[in-house]
Amino acid sequence: MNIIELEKINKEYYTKDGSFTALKDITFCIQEGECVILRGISGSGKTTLLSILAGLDRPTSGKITVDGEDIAKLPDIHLSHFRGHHIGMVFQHYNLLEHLSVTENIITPLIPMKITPQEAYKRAKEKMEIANISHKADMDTNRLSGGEKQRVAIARALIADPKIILCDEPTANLDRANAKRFTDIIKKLIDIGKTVVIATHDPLFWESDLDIRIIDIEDAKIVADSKVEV
Amino acid sequence: MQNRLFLNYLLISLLKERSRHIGVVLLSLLLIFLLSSVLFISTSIQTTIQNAIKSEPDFVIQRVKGGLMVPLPLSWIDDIEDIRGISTIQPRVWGRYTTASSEPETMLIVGIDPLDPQSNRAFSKIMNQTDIKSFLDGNNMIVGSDIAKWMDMHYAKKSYRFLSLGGEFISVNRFATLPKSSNLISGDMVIVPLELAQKILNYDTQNVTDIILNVPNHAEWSNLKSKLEELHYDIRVVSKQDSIKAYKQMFDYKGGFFLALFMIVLLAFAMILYQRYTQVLSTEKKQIGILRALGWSVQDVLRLKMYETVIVIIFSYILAVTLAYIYVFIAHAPLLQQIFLGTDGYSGNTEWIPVINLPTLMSILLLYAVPYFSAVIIPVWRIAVTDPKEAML
Amino acid sequence: MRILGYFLVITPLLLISVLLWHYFGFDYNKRYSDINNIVSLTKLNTLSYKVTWYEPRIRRFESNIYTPYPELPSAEKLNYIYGDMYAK
Ligand SMILES: Nc1ncnc2c1ncn2[C@@H]1O[C@H](COP(=O)(O)OP(=O)(O)OP(=O)(O)O)[C@@H](O)[C@H]1O
Ligand SMILES: [Mg+2]
Repeated sequence: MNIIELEKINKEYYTKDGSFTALKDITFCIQEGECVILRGISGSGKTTLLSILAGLDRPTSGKITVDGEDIAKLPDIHLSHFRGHHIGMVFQHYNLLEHLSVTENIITPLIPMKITPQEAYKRAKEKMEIANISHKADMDTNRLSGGEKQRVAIARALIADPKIILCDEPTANLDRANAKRFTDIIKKLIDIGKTVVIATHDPLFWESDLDIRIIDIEDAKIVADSKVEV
Repeated sequence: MQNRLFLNYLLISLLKERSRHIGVVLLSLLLIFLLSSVLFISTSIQTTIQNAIKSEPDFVIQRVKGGLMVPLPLSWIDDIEDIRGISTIQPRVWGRYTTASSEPETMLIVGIDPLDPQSNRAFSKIMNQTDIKSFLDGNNMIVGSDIAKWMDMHYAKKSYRFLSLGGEFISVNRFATLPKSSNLISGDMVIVPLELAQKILNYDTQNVTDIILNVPNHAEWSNLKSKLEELHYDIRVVSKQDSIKAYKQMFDYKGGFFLALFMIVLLAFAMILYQRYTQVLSTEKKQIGILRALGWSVQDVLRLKMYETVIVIIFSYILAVTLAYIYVFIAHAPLLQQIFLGTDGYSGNTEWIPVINLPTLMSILLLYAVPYFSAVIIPVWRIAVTDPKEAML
Repeated sequence: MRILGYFLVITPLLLISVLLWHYFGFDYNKRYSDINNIVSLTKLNTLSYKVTWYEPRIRRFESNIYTPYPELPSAEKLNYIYGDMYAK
């Protein structure tokens, strides 16, 4: 079953010196449980594509269906709800709330949902186990190392039990050892049935033993797809 | 309960981000504290005066020389008596007496007329039915509680020897002490019979400080005033209405002091708010972007920030006003008292009668809350409605 | 953490105790009537002099050298005003 369907997605940025095409006629589908790598050099449009998938940005034209929902047309309040319930996002710079502790960061996406504190903290505990960060549960995030921060970000992405996890350059700020640990966690996520999309140009992923599909992006277009002929 | 998690989170983020609030809170605390202290004192004085006005005489006749008040002769009473419509004419003798010790204390010597029925009635009320005759028997005085304290400290437990302004010693027995509750008006008083007051203050027996009149027909007041003013070239007629007007002006919000204070406070608020506004723009931009990216709607973000701001506003306001109340009415406003009661040399402790001026307190709250609230919520709202993609950068 | 926690707990407590104090801690009637009695007795509302800053003028007068005035009241007048007190 296709969990993500993109059809002729275009994205234009309008700047002072005219418009700039960041994505051009992007069409592909992702099945539930797949692990997809978006590969491309800097400036090729990976982040732009991810934010459209996450409902953080809207395409200029085209149709995007995520988990049966046409998200390009959703009004903002439903889009927020969609983001909270269906998408787990791991940002390149982690984007943690620095003044809060690890646990508090992790439960943040649950606040607008109707959940009791007990339930929220119970869930946070589970996700910290998965992301290997339980031992730092009460630490303030501004004192964590880069790798630890990322694991907090992963636990936070998992907290609402979304079907889809999106990662933007997850290993760009990590040393090799931590990057390796990240791929281990990704393996765990695929094992529990999550759909994972990673934007990266780190060879670690295609050299690892992960079962992945690679989509190559160049100059705003898809140029290769390891599963589908373009 | 569905909101418990939200409240929990609200409290955590408030507590953890206190550094963001603390500067603003401390400054607002200080400003609201000052403003409401001044308000409490002035309202208390106003209310007390309004109350005391009932017992005040309708007119005071003074003699003025070179703009200064000087004693006037009793013969003026003859002239006034010929005017119709006056129910009582009485001379007053009162003045300041400063002791010649190393820590001088200034007393207000007031002579009372023991034969005036109103004074008689008041005397037995204050002195719990004690007859005025025993007071008139010998040199006796009734002292205000601050003066009593001072005399106790200066070995004058039974009597005090005044050095009259004419250079002779007059020993006066302490007859009674006035209650502390009337301290605002009587703390520095020394009440003696009229003729003793004349001796202490070195008046001739035919001279008095001023003359009071009561005129029952209020319609006659302005008419009478002009008649009185024609009597002598150096007369000053102060009507009750004049003095009411004088202190109304003094304490009205339009009155200079309060207005100036208000302006300063407003300016300070504006500065605080501007600082808060830019702070929201710079530091909270990223945070709001993250929250939005994590699935918070614009409403959710606004709700959190609104609750945060309202809690900060309400609590700092209540704390400041409560502290001001304690400072003024329980601690009797040390320091500020001197500004309001222009009596140096009198080291008394005034007990203000508590009055809460709710309308003005509410307008201070509004003046504080509305701009504060909008200085936080408007930028938050502006950030929240823009692309949540902010978080990606 | 602590400071703000105290702030949130102490403020309402303080408010409640001050309100109780305000409504039950004072006998307002007695206080006002005490003050009114003093004014009735002395015919002098010193408070109004204090707050309207009449005081400095009065004090300046005191430091002046006192000069007696020529007008003298008649003995009958004194008796009329002070009654028996002066007669004795
Ligand atoms: N808000 C914007 N306005 C204008 N142009 C933009 C905007 N955001 C991105 N772009 C442009 O779109 C192109 C694609 O950007 P994107 O961030 O998707 O690249 P990327 O593949 O993620 O690169 P990197 O590997 O460096 O993160 C870039 O050339 C960028 O300059
Ligand atoms: Mg990027």
